Amino acid sequence: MLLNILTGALMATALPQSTDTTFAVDPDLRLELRNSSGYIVVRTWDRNEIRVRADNIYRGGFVIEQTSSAVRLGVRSWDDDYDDVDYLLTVPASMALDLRSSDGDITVDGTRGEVNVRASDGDIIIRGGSGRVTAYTSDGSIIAEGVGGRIRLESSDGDITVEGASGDIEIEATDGTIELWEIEATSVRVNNVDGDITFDGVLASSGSYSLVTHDGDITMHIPEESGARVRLAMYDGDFSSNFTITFPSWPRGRRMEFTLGDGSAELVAETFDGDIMMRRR
Amino acid sequence: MNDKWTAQLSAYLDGELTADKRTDLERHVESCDECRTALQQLRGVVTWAADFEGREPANDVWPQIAAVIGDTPSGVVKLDARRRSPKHFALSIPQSLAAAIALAVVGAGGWSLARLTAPESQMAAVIDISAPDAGATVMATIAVAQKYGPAISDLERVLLQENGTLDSTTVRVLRQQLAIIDRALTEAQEALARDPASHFLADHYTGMMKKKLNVLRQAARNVEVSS
Amino acid sequence: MTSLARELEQTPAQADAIDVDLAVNGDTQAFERLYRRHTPRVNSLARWLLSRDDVDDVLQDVFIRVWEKLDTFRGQAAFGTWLHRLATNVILRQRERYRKDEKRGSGSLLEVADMSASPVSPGLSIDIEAAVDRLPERARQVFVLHDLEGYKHEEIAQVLTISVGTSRSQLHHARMAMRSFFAA
Ligand SMILES: [Zn+2]
Repeated sequence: MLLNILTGALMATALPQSTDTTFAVDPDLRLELRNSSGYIVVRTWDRNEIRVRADNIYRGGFVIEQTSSAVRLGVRSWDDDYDDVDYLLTVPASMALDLRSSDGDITVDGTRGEVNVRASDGDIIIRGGSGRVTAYTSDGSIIAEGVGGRIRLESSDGDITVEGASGDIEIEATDGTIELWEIEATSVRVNNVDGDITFDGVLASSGSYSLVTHDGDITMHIPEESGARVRLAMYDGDFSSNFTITFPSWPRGRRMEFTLGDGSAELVAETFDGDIMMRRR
Repeated sequence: MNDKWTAQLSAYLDGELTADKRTDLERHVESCDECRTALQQLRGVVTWAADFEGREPANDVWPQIAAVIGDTPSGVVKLDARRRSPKHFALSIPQSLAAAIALAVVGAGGWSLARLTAPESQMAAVIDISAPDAGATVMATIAVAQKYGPAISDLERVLLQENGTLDSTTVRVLRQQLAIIDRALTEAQEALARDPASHFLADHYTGMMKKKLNVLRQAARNVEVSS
Repeated sequence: MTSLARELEQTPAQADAIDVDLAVNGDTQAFERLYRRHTPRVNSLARWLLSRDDVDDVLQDVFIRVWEKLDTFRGQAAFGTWLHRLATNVILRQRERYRKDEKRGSGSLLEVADMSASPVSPGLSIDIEAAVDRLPERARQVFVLHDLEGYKHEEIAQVLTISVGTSRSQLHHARMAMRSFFAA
């Protein structure tokens, strides 16, 4: 089925066109949006409707396409390329989102559905989300707040911040600062090369936490009464802690292990060139 | 005071109005005493805020900060004297004593005399978990890591070739990313040469090789997605 | 101005630059000078953003974090600007924690202050400060972030999770509420 929404006279005109259109949608479908450049902002409401406001449509027409599993939005242009459009969408809160942009920031606010976002060049902000939330940007930062589901975030060049998450977390980064705040997840895996890692949260019993970087400090804010087997290694750096227990001096390049409380969780922190700090939360 | 212009005064002060609106507003302010007064006062607010020097806190918290950053020479456990900046220290005795007392009360449901008479905080039992036959394990680990080599060079050749399928921005980011990982690999290798028994270094080296392969695979996936 | 700054006839910014260099190399006395120079403004910032008078813990957190991060400050901005950004981040994070605590019923001094109290002697900074205390919480936060800390509306919208439009209008309300202290 192809619903072609005409938005005024969309001929090959030099003037940019805008559209503001609202249509009914089955919230169980996935929303797909492809954009070449321009920002994408998605907000939610409790209606089974999508409102699309889009600016800077220079060529072609704005198209809504529906398949059995997805609603696709996009601009049909003369040369089969996606246009440079700014989008402000309001969608059903439970709708799954699949958004891609080559160049431009993507913001998703207040969703309760699955989120899959890819930006080649741009920042990504996700507030809310459940099920599976994935974001990838090759050049930009990622912020994920209040995500209920499993999180996988990847940035080649940019900072990644997660605040208030309870699902499993997986982060791949090469060059940037990674900060995790108010985390209540049972599985956390952070893999970085050049940049600090901060973890602030509680360790679930039998949870598994791994923080690895090559060049950067690792700071862990955890409750003193945590139960965990803690494995640490630094090649060029020191370990420090403001826990009540104190530690002997730390040999370089060696993997050392100690136990906090009942030792039920597993916590690994390793950095080649950087300090490891353990702070009472 | 509620004319439609008032609402624009803040935006005007912040230079956020369009040229048209700015001109309109300026014209109005010339003829409207109320708006002119409001504008002057708002200017006062903004200037005051920018120049505001703050208020001294009720309590001086420097002693607590000094204790944490290691300005108290007695009772501080310094972890490694060779470190370039003497920054990270364990807690000073008074604080760890306070913490120990708190723990004793909460943990045992009553005072623990042993804790109180032994103010030194407990020393953690830290064990070296490097394998006893580390040398052999390390060699095996590195051998595995080096098996990634051919796959990595294949992908690098294809993805970074001139006039390839990737756009110039993606290639630039990819090159930067690979340069960072390559530097990490070199550093890990040099460290391994100095400390060939370190299981940690061998795993770290392997981790970086895996990372490089994953980065290249991710880039290859992007080619598939966009084409 | 500190005595050191006066002695060398430095601006506070120059004194900061020197003390940062010293502190990065472990000089805790230099760090104390930085603390003395900047703590009043950070204190006000914390009180207003957190709507409470007791901010000792937050001040400690801020300056310990500054100490830890000092070697990442590379002079790309004035030290004061860098410090305030860092302080604001710590404070806003703390704000999240307090918000959770508030569900358990801990009050705050500023919030119970009499909103209708009128200024006593216009123009005195202490009264102006009291007027900031009496602003509604949201308006106060936006005003402090924008006019004291130089945040853009887009940034405020992000950190306070409000819309850019709300940020603009709250700023305007806050300024309008304070304007009676200033002569035309
Ligand atoms: Zn007027």
